[in-house]
Amino acid sequence: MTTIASADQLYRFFNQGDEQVAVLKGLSLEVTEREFVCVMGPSGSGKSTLLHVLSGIDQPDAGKVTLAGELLQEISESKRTRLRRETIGHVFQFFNLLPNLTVLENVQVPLAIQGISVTQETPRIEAILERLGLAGREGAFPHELSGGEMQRVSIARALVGGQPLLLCDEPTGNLAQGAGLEVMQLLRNLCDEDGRSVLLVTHNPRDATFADRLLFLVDGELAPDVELCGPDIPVEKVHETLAALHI
Amino acid sequence: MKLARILASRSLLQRPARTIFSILGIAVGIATVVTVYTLDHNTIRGLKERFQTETDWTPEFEVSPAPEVEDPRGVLDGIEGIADAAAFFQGEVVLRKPGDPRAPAGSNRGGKRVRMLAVEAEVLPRMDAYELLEGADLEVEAEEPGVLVGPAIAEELSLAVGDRIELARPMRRAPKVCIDGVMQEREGARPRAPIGMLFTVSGILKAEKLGRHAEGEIVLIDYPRGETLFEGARTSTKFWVQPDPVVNIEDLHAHLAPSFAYDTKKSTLTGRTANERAYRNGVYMAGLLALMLGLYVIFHTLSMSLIERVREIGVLHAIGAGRRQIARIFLLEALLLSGLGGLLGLVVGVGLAKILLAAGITSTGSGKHFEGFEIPWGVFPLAALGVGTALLGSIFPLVRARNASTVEALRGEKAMEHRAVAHGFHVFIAILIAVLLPTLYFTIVPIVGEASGPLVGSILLAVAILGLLLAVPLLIPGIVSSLCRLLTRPLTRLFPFAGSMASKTMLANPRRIAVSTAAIALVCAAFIGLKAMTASLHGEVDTWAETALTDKVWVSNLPEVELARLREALHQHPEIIGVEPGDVRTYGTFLMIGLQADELVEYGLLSRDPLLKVALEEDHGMIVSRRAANERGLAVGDSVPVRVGSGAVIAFRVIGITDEYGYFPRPDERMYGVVSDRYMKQYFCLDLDHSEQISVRLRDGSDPGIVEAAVLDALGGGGKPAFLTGEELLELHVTDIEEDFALFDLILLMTALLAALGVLNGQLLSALERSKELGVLRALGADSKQIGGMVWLESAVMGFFGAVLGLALGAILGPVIIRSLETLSGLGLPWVGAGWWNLIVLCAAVAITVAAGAYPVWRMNRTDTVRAIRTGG
Repeated sequence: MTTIASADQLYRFFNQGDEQVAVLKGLSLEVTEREFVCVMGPSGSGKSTLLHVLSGIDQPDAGKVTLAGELLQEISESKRTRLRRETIGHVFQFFNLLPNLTVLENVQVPLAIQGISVTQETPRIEAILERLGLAGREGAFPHELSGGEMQRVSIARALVGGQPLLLCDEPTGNLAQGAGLEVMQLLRNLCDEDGRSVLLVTHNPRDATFADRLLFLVDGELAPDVELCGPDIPVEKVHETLAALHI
Repeated sequence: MKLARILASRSLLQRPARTIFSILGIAVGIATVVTVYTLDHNTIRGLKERFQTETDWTPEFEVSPAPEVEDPRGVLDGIEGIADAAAFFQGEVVLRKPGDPRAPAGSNRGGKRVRMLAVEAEVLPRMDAYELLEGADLEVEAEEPGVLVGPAIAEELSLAVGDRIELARPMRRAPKVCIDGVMQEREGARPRAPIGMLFTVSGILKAEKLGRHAEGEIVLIDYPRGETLFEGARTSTKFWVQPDPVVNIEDLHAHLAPSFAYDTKKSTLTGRTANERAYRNGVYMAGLLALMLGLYVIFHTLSMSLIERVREIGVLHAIGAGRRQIARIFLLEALLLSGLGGLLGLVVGVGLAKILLAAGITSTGSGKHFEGFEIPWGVFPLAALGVGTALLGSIFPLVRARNASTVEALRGEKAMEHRAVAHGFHVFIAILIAVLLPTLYFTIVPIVGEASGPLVGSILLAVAILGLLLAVPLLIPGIVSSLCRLLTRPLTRLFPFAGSMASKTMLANPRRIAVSTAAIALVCAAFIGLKAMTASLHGEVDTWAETALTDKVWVSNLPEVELARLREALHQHPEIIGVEPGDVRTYGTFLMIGLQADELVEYGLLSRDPLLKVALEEDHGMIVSRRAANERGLAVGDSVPVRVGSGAVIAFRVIGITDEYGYFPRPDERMYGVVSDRYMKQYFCLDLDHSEQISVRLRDGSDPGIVEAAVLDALGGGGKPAFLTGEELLELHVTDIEEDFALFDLILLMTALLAALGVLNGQLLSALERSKELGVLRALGADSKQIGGMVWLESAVMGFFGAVLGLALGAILGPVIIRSLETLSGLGLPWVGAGWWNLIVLCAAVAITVAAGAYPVWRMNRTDTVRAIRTGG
């Protein structure tokens, strides 16, 4: 299988007052095509930082990140942006929809950024919205949507550009249980049916059960030799592992 | 989807209040400047049109050298501020076509008498004095003398370029001149013998400018040819002088005065007289202030708007938008805001100028009505400048946004609110304002370009003070917010929740507090400065009135009555000690009024020093008004050359400086000189026996009603004279000042509106930014009054502190403004101070800022608590 994104010996430090705190400590990871990888860890373990570094919106202090065969440290800021635009779809915990745009317009934004004609893509966008259960909500503004709807719009926005890798940062963190399950099933389907790769970071054991591969992030490092393989990882197994790792 | 267009337009439409207030801020700033500029343009245009006699041409200056000046050309060359000078004289010539049997040479028969101007031909074209229908300018070096022929002659005599004509000095009787009060032939004058010379027509004049002189019956020849033609005859050589475009006209007057008598074209003085110049500069200064404040508000609104949306920038970047794409979105938004604001400002500014002009409010005072209205081209670059500045205001935050951390933005952290970012932004504004403002001022205010060094120094000092005012709160906002917080502390006892919350907000948002406070301070300082200026002008009028108007009554509209008889009748009343006729006047270097010395000895200067009567009557003495002395730099003993009716130049000597004699309200002219009426008779043959207006001086403290009774009694019921007491006249002058300054009040009102918009925008953006916090407060039980009180308290404290700061700066700025005005106008202005206005300004500032808080309070109270808590907005 082809590797779509990889991290090799990543280090990332942040200043907290006078102290320097290491958030990532020599982390290495690979995500291949059509693979659903989940990274679990407690709050502050560096999950979001990992996604930021992998997408190129943050730079590691040491280590290498490869995205679609390109070493991010060796390319310019503008190239990194273009690569992110073409390779990655983002799904955020807080949705981050643009508040002044409607559902349809929010979904169209990545196409507009890429300079793709929206008119030509309308049937495809409508199909995505249909698939995500957003048909009929095209004209609504974000503040008129429920949390689950907002997250589905966020996923639609991540899908519309046809990017092969979805980076999902706690996508169910702000959703009710039912809505959360819906979203996770959707991500699983995208992997199985559309052949997209998904890298999910979460602290929710239930979400982790949807992954092909489950990794555990503890103190900035992936727990060595602890990897659960799916799909359909039993939730009890996840709980057990978390307990064993004192997470 | 054009991303930039959609995002920008949606952002504007989804937050209508922010959009409207931002546009209004930009529009009011631009409208104020456009109003001032358009008003001034139309005022000057109107005044010039009033003075122009159709398209006739007169030189800017026509100067006559005093007899003792041996080399007038050399003296003129040595005077600074003269761009060109052309010697000329004029006379009458007889024009004949050679070989015409009906017009034999050497006689007056048959030829056509036309006006001749002999002018230095090489200078003339540079003065733009004529236009040619055909042909070419006069050639100085040509072998055969050339002539430019007026259109009427060319048509009548069917003259064409290349034709030859003869010009001859006409045989005529010796001219009569005013000598010793009688029109008589000059001693030794003989009838002139004609001398004929052949000329070639080198051009035909258009019926414009000089071509209109003498109804087109004019010929122009080179000065040396004219000298030859009039050899042996008496000619009077004068000079047409073209001043340097940037010269101070009154400085030039002062330089010319010792050696020349001069006439200045009225349009040259248009808008340049002392009062007008002071007023126009004041208007421009006020306009500049509005622009400064407008820029300030625009900058801050746009920057805050961008800072507020940093999360949006982060999202766009995370989903793949390049920095350039993001910049384009925000630039487009800024362009839309500033473009709409600019357009609105342009329309409102031009409209307001039109309304003001229709109401008789001009840039040189009130009560003047002009025909027509013109939109000057200059308003477009001015509006574009405002738009450009607004765009510049968005560039710095954008540059900073480029470096903002996307990660922090996505986490919802206030990446742009970093202290260094805001600090850098304010430094950027301060530098921009420091460079932009003086440049703008000196570009749009041509008068200042002419002004002297001290004035430029004064203006720069004023700009420096204003710059300091802006820079201090911007660069050290913590001090301002801490002081505001200190002021809030006592109020916390009265309003515990609102007080403590307002206090915390101030500490958390020092820059917003500092900017709003500085804007209020700026307006207050300007207002106090203006009020100090009007108070000083009042003071100046009071001082003048004390000597010029006290115990005097002006009588106008007198019927044909012998002045001697009227005087005699009036002097029957012991309270009447002097009668001054108002019609014995002529304009030379400045207004000259002829008064009988005997009438002046019982009051004023002549009563204190009786010897001056002799000097006035017998030694060409002149008593000049204080304004004339001030503006012309005259002192006792100085010589004032005056060209008299005979063409000779007579030197009068300044024997005193006072306003006690000679002032008349119609026309209201405070720059004049009083000479003995016998000289007016002797040199100008003026009628001393009749006058339509007189002023009557009463003994100190006498009842002015006596004059009316006495005059009516003397007239025996004839005519309907009008009476005006000194007190009434003073009242009119004071009312004039108040009416004149209505325009300033309007401009300041607009700047106050701008400051209020600045406060409102700041409060509104802060409310939007803090919607989550406000939602939480409401969820915790805070009611509308508590939330509103928090904002109003903050506004009131900002208004109070801004006003205090403004009053302190106004106290410094006031003397600087007065000094500038003195330099500009030549008026002696006393320092009076703004008095009660200080208190009024303090109260008004608090009221305005509290009013500006009303909308944000309303907006805050309308916020959906649930939504605010759930989404943060």
